[in-house]
Amino acid sequence: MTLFGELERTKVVFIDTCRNLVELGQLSKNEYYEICDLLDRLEEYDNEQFKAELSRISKGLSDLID
Amino acid sequence: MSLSELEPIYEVPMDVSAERQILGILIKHPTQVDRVVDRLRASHFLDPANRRIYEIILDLYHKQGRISYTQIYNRLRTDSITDSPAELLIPLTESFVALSELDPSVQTLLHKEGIRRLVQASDTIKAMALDPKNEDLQAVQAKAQELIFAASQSLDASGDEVKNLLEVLNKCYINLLNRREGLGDAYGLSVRFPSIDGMTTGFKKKDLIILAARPSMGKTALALNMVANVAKRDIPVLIFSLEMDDEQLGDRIVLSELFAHKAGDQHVITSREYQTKLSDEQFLVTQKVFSELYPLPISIVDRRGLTVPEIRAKARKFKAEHPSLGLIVIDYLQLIKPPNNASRSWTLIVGEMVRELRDLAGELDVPLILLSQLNRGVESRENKRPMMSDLRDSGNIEEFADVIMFLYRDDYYYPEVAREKGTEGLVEVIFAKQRKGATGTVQLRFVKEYTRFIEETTRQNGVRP
Repeated sequence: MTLFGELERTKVVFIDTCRNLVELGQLSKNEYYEICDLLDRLEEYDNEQFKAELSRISKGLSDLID
Repeated sequence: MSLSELEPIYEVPMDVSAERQILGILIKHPTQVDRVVDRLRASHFLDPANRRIYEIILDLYHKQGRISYTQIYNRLRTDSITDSPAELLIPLTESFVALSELDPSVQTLLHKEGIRRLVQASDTIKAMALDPKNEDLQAVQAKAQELIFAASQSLDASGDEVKNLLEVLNKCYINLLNRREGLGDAYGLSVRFPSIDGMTTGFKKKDLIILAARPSMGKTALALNMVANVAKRDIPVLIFSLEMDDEQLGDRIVLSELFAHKAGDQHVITSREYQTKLSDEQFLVTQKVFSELYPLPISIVDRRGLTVPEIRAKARKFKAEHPSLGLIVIDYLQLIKPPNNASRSWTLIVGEMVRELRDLAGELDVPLILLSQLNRGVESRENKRPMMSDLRDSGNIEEFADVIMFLYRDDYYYPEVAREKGTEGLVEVIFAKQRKGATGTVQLRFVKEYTRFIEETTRQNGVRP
């Protein structure tokens, strides 16, 4: 699979996980949509900026990834 | 009959891999939607999940929304398409290929769709042919041709719908050069009557030409003269004769060609002699004419009561067998069998038939001459020259025709006056409408004994009577 394919696959898995967290009450819908937006604009961020933005949206999720 | 009803004796032609590749490319490069939106419909995607994803992509595109996996994921969930959108989307991420694969993948889907349509058409034809209720074999054959033709049409029309001015002017410029150098078919089809060709610059491809007159004015004779002139240049012509049978037409063509062997004012063979018994000398001349006519590429369909769909089917078949078909003649409009639709007015029905025949000319890329009667209104006027309003009872002919020609003979109505004035046999060819040229009147001479039109030297170009 191409690098792009890998990245998109990871995004789909990630968003799927976030959606499950919404259903479990671990993530609000607003947070979820902000994460979607963040993923769609991923190319605008470097690694550190992405972590910071994710942490701003959901500290818990950011900690989970770390 | 839908695809699901097809007998399961073969696998439905499809390519899920190509479907996924297209979707993967469109998600990665949303601007490419422009390149496929008018070529692929959702129905080109046979896999239901892929079809739905394509619909979502088009919807997002039309609403100027962002096209991304997350957006599609959310739409799949909110539209309750599936509880696990990731299972549908992950295969797409795995099948992403280079952008250059987009066109080949689109072609693959168009190809598969083309095969499916042919299979579907042939199954429908089979069911129709085996249905004991369908007793009219010719109707079944006509319908079968329609189905096959429709199934054979290119599904990818994106290339010829929108043309920029540069393309159009390029074609105009090439035509201009060709006309200047007298090359190719820059002009329309010449019928070898200089006065008529001068008015029309030749009958143009895709044009519907109406040749209308009251009975006995010489409509069929002029049409046959033009047909023979065209066919002598080895251009195939197809005649639908709904009034005369093939032998009557053949005799007419022979008779009119005998005119060329006329010596001065002496008739070689009169119409009556041809129809009765010829002398040995006359027979030899006639045999020579037959020899000249044998190789002409003229084909005749002489079945009465043809419908427009039947005419269309036969013309399509002929065109497929003779791609260089140059002219179609239908003699005549009022004898075409209308569709069974008693609830609509005659005017509407005829208008629809004329429109369909114009579309046929466009589809087959040939000029189509449609002969037509005129209503009796002509007879009640003092000036009996036909006018556009005389076609009014015949649907929207005026609207759909590209060229409308009327024939008028003074000697038909006023034989004594014509004899005194020396205008016997003079025929006015009135160009009442020309979408691509001027209106006006030209004159021909009708030699009744030979049903032959010849050029008249005095012309009245551009003058309305």
